[in-house]
Amino acid sequence: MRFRFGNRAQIPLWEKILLGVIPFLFAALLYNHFATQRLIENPRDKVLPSVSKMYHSMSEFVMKTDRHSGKQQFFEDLKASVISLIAGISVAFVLALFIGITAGSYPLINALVMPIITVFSAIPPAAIVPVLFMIADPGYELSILFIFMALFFVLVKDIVNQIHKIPRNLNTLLFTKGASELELGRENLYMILPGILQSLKINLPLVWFALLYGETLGAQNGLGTRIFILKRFSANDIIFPYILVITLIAVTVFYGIEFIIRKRYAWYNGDEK
Amino acid sequence: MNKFLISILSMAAAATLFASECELTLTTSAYVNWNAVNASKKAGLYDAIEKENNCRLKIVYYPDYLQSLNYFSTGSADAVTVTNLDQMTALASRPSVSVVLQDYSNGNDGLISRHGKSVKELKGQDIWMVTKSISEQLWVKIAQKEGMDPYRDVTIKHMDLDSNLRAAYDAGKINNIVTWNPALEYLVQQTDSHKTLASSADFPGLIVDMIVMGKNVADFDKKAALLRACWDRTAEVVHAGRGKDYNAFMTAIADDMGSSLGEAKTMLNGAKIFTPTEETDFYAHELPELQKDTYKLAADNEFLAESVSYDLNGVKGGDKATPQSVFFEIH
Repeated sequence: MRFRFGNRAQIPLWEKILLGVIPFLFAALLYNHFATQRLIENPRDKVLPSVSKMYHSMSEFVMKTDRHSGKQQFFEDLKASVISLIAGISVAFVLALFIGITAGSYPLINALVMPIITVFSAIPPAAIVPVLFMIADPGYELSILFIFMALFFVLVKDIVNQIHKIPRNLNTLLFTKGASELELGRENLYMILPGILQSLKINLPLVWFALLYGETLGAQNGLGTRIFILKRFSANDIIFPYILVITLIAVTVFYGIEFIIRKRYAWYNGDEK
Repeated sequence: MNKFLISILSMAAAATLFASECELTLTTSAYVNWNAVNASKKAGLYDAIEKENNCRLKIVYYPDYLQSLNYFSTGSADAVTVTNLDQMTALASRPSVSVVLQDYSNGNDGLISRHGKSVKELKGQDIWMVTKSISEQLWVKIAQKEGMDPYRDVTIKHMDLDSNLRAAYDAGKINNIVTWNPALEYLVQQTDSHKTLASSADFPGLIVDMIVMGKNVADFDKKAALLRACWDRTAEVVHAGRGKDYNAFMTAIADDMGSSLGEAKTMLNGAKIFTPTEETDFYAHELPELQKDTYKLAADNEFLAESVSYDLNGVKGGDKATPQSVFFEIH
């Protein structure tokens, strides 16, 4: 007997897709309703532009080259943001792994670094911008620093937590079988990696927030930079397509990480076949 | 007891008076003569005017200029303090009318440098500013005056929020900035080596500060009259330069800008605050030409957003040039 409702429901694929699309349709209809209403009241309204207006403005904007540099602004922005993202996430991830695993494994280091990391993780980066200006140059350095701060502390705490969850017996067993400290670390790394990737995936919205905020602090190109410059002119007909680009990247990264977990660490979700 | 009753009654009367109606939301940001509006309100200079006009003035203050402009263009505020250039560019999406010309900047906007001794020395360096705004307008003018190319001889760098511009300069990360007061005065006071290389005092009447109202605001005339009366009161107090109200005002404005009384005085002198006759004269004789030039500069240098097209014929003066009248309309 197939269940249609309840917690054991089995839904066919077409139904899953349909269910997923409904909220999007609803949101689009709602947007269209309010946009039309505003445009009737004031035909020059720019807060909620119509879809065709966004399409035309954006295709024009993508083709347009900057007057001073001669480059296509949109691609410069895309490049800058993607580079900041990759740099910020990689630096935070690698450093967090290193510090997290050592702090998780050695009580002495744990006692040394965890209190300050716990305290620092509570400081909102946006509140200490004047201090951050002293550490990093305005521009890409600051965007990367912001992403780093958003991600690093969360990941370290999570890694330490996961290391502590590894059964003690297992490490003792490996040790008595002759594994070196390094090999032990590698084994532990393998066991926590999918969990950390999962945690990275869940914390991606923080990264986006940090990137956009960081870019307001003097980055000359970037999706966030452009959005903030255009915001001044209420040029939502270009801002909304920019947001769409950001969403597309975010969704791709999200499912990308999920894909890696499923492929490489099939045991993590218990769906090993 | 009697006193108590009377005060309760008068409070109740005031409450019903205000509760029944009109509230005007004015959004402002950090600039001397906009801080002056805040300060006047705090010093109680507007209390009588609000009662008389039967309308309350609510001020929404942002530490950053662009945020106040955004707040206005999305329709959240009835009025905003803005310059003549930015009314054309940043506020283009919401039809607006300037109801008060406050002053023109006479030193309150400027270019400061950590190491440079003259504008020409900055060749090849970065200059930071809130781009596509008054600061870039001023830089273009300065460069033209010095015989430099505003875009090829230096690299213009964009910073979105003026408070961050100040913080970055403070941190020693950037060396040349174009900004306005109170930040300008604050940074110059930091050490003796920071020099103001050029300022709006070299271009009197270029940057006009004003209070602008949305065209679609309900009770437009009533609210415009309130703004007019409020600013006239502030201008009157500043021009008087002494007295109880003046002292209360100065304390409030120094507090609002985080400066000393002396600094506040210097900054107030950095703008030519119009008297009612000067305002009318300026409006009638100089503003139309100025707005045409300003528009041309904005269009030539792409200050207008990519999607903003602007019709010069849309810039029209009002009919009557009296202090009570409405000034520029941007359609």
